[in-house]
Amino acid sequence: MSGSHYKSGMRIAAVSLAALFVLVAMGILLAVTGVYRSVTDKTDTHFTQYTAVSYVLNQLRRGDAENAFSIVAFGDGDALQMEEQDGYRTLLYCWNGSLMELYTGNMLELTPDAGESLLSAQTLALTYENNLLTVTVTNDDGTVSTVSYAPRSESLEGGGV
Amino acid sequence: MNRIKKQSPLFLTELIFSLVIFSLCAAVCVSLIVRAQTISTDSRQLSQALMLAETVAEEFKAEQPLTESRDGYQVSTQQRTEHGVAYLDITVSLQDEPVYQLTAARVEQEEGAS
Repeated sequence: MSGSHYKSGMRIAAVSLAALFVLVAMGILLAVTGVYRSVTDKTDTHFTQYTAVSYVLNQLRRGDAENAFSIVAFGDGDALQMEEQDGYRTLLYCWNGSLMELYTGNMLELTPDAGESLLSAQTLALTYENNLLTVTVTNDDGTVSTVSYAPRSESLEGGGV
Repeated sequence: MNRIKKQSPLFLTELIFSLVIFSLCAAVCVSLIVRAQTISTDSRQLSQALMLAETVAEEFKAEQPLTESRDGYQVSTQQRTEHGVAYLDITVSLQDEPVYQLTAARVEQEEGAS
């Protein structure tokens, strides 16, 4: 009789421990999954938030020459037009929720969808005032990233548009 | 009966031992994840501070009014001139904690120079 009670007691204890093990495992798994998701979401947001403005900024630095830049209307709004060598130009603009790049000849009139999609971005706004070019990118989640650049060449066609 | 009495504590001991090992592994994993989150947050703050510092440096270069704060970040600047070169020490802080420092330089044009 006492042996039977002992056996059932031990069984209950073992099952309780096993249940505790499963509960703890599930709890930790859920907690870690939540934290991991949060980290990856923040990393993704961070990436899209700054990569777009960094890309435009680096293109500005790369092509900084006299009369090399101009702000034109193309795609969904403002576009940065950079004159390249031998009658070619590069356009950076937003189109259908993407930051696009279009490398084309000066004589060709291509439509915005001819460009290559770089990153997701809602709008690109460019302003040029007092030798300071301000690039503002609105991301998918509505966050706005802004960076300014003072062109070393000190000339920008279409400035102040 | 003796066999049951001997087996059950052994099973319990094994379960407890498994729980302890699992808890240790879980603690290590959780600490790694928390560390990853901290690194991610630091990285994001550094990028934001860098962008702001770059913007202020460009404003200084263009001789425009300097941005003093943005998105909760404060900018403190200190300007000095040495041998015809103007230097601007830029410190971007978040909640009074410096996040990024940058020194920008600009050649001052002499008066009367075109």
